Amino acid sequence: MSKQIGLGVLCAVLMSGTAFAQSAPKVEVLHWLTAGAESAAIKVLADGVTARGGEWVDVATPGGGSDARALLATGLAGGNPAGVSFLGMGTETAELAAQGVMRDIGGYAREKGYLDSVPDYALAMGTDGTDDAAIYALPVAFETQNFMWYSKPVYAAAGLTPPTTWDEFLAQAPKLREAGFIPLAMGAQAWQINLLFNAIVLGEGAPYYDRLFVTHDETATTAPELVDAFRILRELSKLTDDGAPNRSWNDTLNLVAEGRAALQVMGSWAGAELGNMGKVYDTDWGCALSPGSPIVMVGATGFQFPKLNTPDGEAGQDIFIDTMMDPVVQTAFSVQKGSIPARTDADISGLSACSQLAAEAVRDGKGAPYTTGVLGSEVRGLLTDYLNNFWANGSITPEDGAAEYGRILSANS
Amino acid sequence: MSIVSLRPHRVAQLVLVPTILLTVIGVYGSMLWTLQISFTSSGLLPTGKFIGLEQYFKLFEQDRWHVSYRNMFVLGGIYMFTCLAFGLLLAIAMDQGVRAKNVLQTIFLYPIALSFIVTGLAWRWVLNPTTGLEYFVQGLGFSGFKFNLLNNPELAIFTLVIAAVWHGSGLMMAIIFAGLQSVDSELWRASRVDGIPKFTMYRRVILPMLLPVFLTCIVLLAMGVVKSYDLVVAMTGGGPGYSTDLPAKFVVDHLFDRANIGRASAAAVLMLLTVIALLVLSSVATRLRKHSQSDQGAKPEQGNKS
Amino acid sequence: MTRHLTPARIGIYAFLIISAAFFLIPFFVIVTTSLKTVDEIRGGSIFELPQALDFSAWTKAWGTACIGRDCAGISPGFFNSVKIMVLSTGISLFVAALNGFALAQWRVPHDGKILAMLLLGAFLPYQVMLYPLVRMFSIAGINQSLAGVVLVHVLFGLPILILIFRNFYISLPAELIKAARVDGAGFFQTFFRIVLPMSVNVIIVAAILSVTGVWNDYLLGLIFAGRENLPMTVALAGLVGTQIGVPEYNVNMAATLITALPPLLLYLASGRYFVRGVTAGAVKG
Repeated sequence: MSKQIGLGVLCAVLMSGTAFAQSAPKVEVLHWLTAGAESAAIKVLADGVTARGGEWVDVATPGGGSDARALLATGLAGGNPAGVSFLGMGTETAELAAQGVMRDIGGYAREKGYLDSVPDYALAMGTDGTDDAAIYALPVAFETQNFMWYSKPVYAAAGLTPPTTWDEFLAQAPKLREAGFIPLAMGAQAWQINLLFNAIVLGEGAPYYDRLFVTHDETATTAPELVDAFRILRELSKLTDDGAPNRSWNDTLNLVAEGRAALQVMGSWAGAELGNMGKVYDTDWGCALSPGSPIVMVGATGFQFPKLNTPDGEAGQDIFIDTMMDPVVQTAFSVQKGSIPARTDADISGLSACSQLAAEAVRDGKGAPYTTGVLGSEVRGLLTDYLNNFWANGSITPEDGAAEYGRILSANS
Repeated sequence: MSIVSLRPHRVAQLVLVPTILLTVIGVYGSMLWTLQISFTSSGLLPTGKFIGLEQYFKLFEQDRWHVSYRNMFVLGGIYMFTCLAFGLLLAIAMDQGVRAKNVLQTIFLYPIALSFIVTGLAWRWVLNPTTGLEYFVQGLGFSGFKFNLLNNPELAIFTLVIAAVWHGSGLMMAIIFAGLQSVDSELWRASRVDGIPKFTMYRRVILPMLLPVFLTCIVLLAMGVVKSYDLVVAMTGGGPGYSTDLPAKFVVDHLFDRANIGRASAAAVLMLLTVIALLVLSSVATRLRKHSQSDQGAKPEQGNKS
Repeated sequence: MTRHLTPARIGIYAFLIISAAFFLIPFFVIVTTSLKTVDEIRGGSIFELPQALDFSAWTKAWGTACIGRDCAGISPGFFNSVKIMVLSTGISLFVAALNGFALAQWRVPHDGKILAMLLLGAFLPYQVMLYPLVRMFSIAGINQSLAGVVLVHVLFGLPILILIFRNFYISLPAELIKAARVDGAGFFQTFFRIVLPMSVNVIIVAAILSVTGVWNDYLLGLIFAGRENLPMTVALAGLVGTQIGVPEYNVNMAATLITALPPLLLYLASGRYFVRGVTAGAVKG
């Protein structure tokens, strides 16, 4: 919830004068990786920065990504943003770059040879969309968004197997309830509902997902698949427990970890968190792609670099880039976070079973971009608001839901 | 000291200059700037181009805005009414010469010292169905007991009302009670001689005398409604859905999280216009009341000055 | 005067006692929960008393609980709040007293209009001013700093405080000021030698209003204070939002209680003044 920004190197410099100009360049890093395993991942980067002679200044927002964006916005508005800012890569960087507040680090990264082994589509998300040479953000890892994390003891106790389609899960739900379990672990926050819904849309088939979100095919916004997706979302909204509203994702994951709920749809970071909670893979929990998903939905997570007007600001950013683009660091980061390294030449043998599953799918070309990468922030905001309302408001029918969602999507893209 | 050579009146005027400058720039200048931004397409930085009323039209298309704007009146109305009514009942009960008055007053009043963040967290914990009241009553054996306001988009707004009334009604009690205490005891003696029932006395004589006290209360409560941003953040985060969103939160979210300052400014301007409209209405009402009162020549004591 | 326990009186007492329970429940729950262990919380209901007096949640909330990756509890927030509060209240009271005195006892042209302009600003929603203030502060180089958050508190706090002081000083006999002037005292001499010593009561009332307002603020601290000066309310919200592993409700509640304590103690200590403090702004508004 903290919308604070790093006090700005500006103030520090004003107060300390130039006395400390010789000291280690400060690297202020704005992020929201605060849950246990995420926190371990960010520590990998922090240690790397320290080892390279930088001074890591941690600016974390426990409230999540939206708070971090708020902080970035105030920082940019005030002219003293954190030098490095974590993000789910996508149109956000392009929007910021268009306003001239981001630093083009393309030259530096190219000179150091950091870009050669990063997939082009991931690099494209760091440009402003008009000029491929200018790069404002770099990916550190790929996150699978549509994993299903399930409790093995729950499924064993209920005598069922994890579902492969949403309808199968809906049929299982009454039995799970009867056995005393919460069928779906859900934290009803806007972004979590959005993530779940996108997984459902993917369950309607990869081509449909592509038409709706990526190629912006007008007919997709009125297709029966959308109504079906809303039907499933409506059914799912009834399968959670009373504590769902405004519950954080890791709080929610606890339900799966403790064997109180059957499954949760969440990104790859949840796997690392389950391990962090002391739960054992394949004994306490298992993972699979979300029901009906033929492919993995990947988002690139990375860092963007605002323009700084402090003397050692860019030096600090450069140290950070050196750190995050080191393949060893990327592997260590992904091992902790449960993601896949962004550099294709990084070692993946140390990754968890779930991550390897996703890594293989991506290598085989079975990957689809997450909506953050393909939709503008305005329309994403409106769609997320709408889903949030639909989830909470049981009186909206799937037909109305699909119609309104389609209307917002086609009116704004 | 050159000040010494100035005339004291000049000094008094100069002393006011910083405050006036600060307010003119900080409050009124900011207001105008926000107004200007609301006519532009600005996203994260106020650099957008002029697009007239476009932001306002888009705002009106957003269901979330309608819900939050309506909530301000629903929350405000119910909260102000409940607070006043509850405060009044408490004050009248306290006025019956009960024992342990000071202890009771201390208990009724302490929430006003707490922040809305603390208030919201405490009540979220009590009202949380899986850990709080519902879980407790179910544990007593009433397994069918449901007290699940936080999950119901139509009722979640009432959790805010409960917390806000808890926070504010003690203060209303204190103000009204002080007013009741200041009523001349001769009046009560006379009413007893005449055999007028207490209820009639309160309704016909005492409460009308306390009208200015109630106005004070309403002003205080209204100022609280505008600040209720903190309470929503701590209790519901605007949810479920955006059913408990308020304009104050809508503006802050769009200002920073959504990085859409054009839209946020348009929403803020609408908030401003609403407040101004209410201020104008209340000053007209006050003037009308004063006008009718001056005919009778009655000027009751302000209770809260005791 | 003795009274018999009539049914009506029993009803009145019942109403008052039930109401008292309503007011006390959240406080009771916060205190008891903060004294329980995590297992106790999960196993029992919120109305059960703790099995033992265990203050470990308190020490954790104060010194070691994590807010993000920062595991220093809410004590830094406490000291930030103290800093912000002392500066904001001190500056506001001093300026407000001087301004109130000037408006009440000296010939100031358009004094009514000046007061109205200041007060109107106090009623407007903060949201209308937030963004421009962030920009202005950053131009002035005080965005996200102690100076910034103090200035914004002074800006929004002054109007009501000035009104309180003005209403008090206007009741001072004009002869008093005149006598001082005959003795050759200027504005400041009159203020410091004669007026200020008479103002203890009104200063207490104004201080209570200012202290509780600043201490309990969330939004302004969030936006203007900057990472190094975040007040306690923001730290509390961050602490409750950070969950690593099993949620520790006892620590959350202890942190809530610690945040609530300073204004609560002020309330208990100042008694009558407190009501006058928090209502002062609405009197003759």
